[in-house]
Amino acid sequence: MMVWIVDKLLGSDLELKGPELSKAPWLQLDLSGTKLRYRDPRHTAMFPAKAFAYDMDLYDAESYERDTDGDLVKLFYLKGWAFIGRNRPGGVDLAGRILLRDKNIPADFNYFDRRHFDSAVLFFCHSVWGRQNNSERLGDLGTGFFKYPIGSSELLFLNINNVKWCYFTAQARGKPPRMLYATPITAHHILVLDFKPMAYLDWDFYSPDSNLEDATHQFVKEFMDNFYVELSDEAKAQRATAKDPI
Amino acid sequence: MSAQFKQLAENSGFSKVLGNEASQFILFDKDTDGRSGRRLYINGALASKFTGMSPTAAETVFAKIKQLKATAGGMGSFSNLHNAMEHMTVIGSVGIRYKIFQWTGHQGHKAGVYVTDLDVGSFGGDSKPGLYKVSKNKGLWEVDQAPATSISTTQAAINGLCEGLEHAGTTVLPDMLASSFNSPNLSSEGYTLCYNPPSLYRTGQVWRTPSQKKTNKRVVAAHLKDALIDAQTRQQKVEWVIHSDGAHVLHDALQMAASRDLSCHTVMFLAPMAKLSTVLPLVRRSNISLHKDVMKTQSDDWRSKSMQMWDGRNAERELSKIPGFEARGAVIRGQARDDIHKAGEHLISSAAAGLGAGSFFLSPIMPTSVALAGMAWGGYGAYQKAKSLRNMVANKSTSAGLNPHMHPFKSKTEMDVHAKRHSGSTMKTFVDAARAYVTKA
Repeated sequence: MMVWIVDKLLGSDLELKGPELSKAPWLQLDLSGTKLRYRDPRHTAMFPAKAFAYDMDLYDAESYERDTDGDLVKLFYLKGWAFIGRNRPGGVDLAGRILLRDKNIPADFNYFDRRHFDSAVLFFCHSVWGRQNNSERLGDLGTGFFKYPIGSSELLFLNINNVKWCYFTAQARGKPPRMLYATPITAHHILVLDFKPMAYLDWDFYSPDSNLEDATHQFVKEFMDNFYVELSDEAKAQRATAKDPI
Repeated sequence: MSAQFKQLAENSGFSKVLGNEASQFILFDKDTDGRSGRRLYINGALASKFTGMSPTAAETVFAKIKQLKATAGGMGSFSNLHNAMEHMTVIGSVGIRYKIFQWTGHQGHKAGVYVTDLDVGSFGGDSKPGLYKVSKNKGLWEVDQAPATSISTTQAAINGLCEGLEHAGTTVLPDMLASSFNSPNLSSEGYTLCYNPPSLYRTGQVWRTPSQKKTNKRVVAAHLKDALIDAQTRQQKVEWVIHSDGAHVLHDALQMAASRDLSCHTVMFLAPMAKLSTVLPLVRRSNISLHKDVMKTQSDDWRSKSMQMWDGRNAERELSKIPGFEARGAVIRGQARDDIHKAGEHLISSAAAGLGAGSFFLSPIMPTSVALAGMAWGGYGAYQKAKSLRNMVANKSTSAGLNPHMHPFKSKTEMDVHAKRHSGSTMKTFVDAARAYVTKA
């Protein structure tokens, strides 16, 4: 009884509270006609929030950053949310990125085509985690700490609010998984939501001291349940031409 | 372990020197009974500090502690300013605090060295201090899982305030490096992070600085020293950004490096938490270059400024000894002088209004909610002032979007714009900052 009262008053690490999505304001973004709508809770993690989302022109190559592999990347959203009980054992960061392929595009290239999309996602994983894993080529997991998808069969496709999202995780052994959701928004653009659950300071993500793992996973799921994408008419037309559409 | 201690206690025929039964002092080992060197006793309760250590590590620590027979209170030890008998020695990752009694005034209590506390270095969960390569691919910053053995990049950083390796490496420091050195290689090459396990602040209330966690800091500094010397021997140019408490680590590393030449390195201090005038002589001695701006601090970052405030004259004197930095010294001294005046003004105006604002931003402890309420009242009274107050309140906020300590490059106006975007409006930003204390949110 005593414990229950103290937990009620001071919070409990076994009932961590993240941001309340149902009370967070909606954020609406217009990306060259494609509309995103999602809940935008207040940033509470210990780093400066710096990518403030706003309407943008998807085709303005100037606003992107050229990756070493030649593709363009734009970070349009970056926030972190601390999960708080009696302590502050961890939280989730979310980075929203748009990948644009603007060079060496084959004639029938279309990200709405499963074949092109899959290889883009697998190449993405290979570029980010392959080096650390000593991976020699695409399709080789290498010998390092990381586990990430190297074949199409490891990509999971989920239907969330009438949008087909590709879900995959990348994880170093013993560390929290990075949860990524990707979906094409035009023939040449992919939207990637990169959720990074983590433990702060000397907390252990998987320790029974807190329900950090459950709480953050639950939050990511709820966040996605509140994420809406409405393709522009142009994008819809592009999807219609795909041979094996997503 | 405790059985062994019990045995030793019996062997020594010695008990209850200071404190109660549970904290009795026992002979450290059979051969520390005065047959050579001083007698060495240890508080039996400290046995628990060895739990979790590997037997090899424990044996090493035992051997080091035994050295105190001869070296206790020597040149390499720290002495307590308030108690001439108390000293501290750091050996490897263990800090040992002890008292030396030449005479105890009690028949059963023998003269000797009494180990009163051990501080076994502890580091956050899975992130150990050391060097980590951080690289950027497809727009993602990713910290290497395995620590690096040397610096392979032209840019490097030491973190200060943060909530762990991930945040320090991927969200805090890349921007600071980009703003400091504006190097085109940062994205393609990545940088090396000298990870300084951050100050612990649980429940958003206490800022414990590495200077209070001496053991952790020493270990990081030892890593850093090796890396600095290694890069120098390879003649590799490295540009360093040193944020916040990282300045303490650099200070210790340079002290350990003695006066070795480290001229391949260039440093820039961002919101330093150590007095510049204590670090600069070491920087000069090692021939380290300074970034042309030397130091950047957001103008409402009182966490850093209260460190520099009374130090302007010394910093200027030190900078004047480094060719080319005479003018910069005058600027930094001027800033420090202004800050003293400003701090004074805040104290006076807040005293006049019966508020605790002045003592709030100068004291390292939490404000009372009464002081906060008072500040809110005063803050709303003058709109322009509210922004400064907001920033000051946010100095102790865990909400980094608002805390000026995390934004050393922003001018007052930029900080205001940033905070507005963060919270919605200027007024809201203040409430957000205040709420961070009240609700821990």
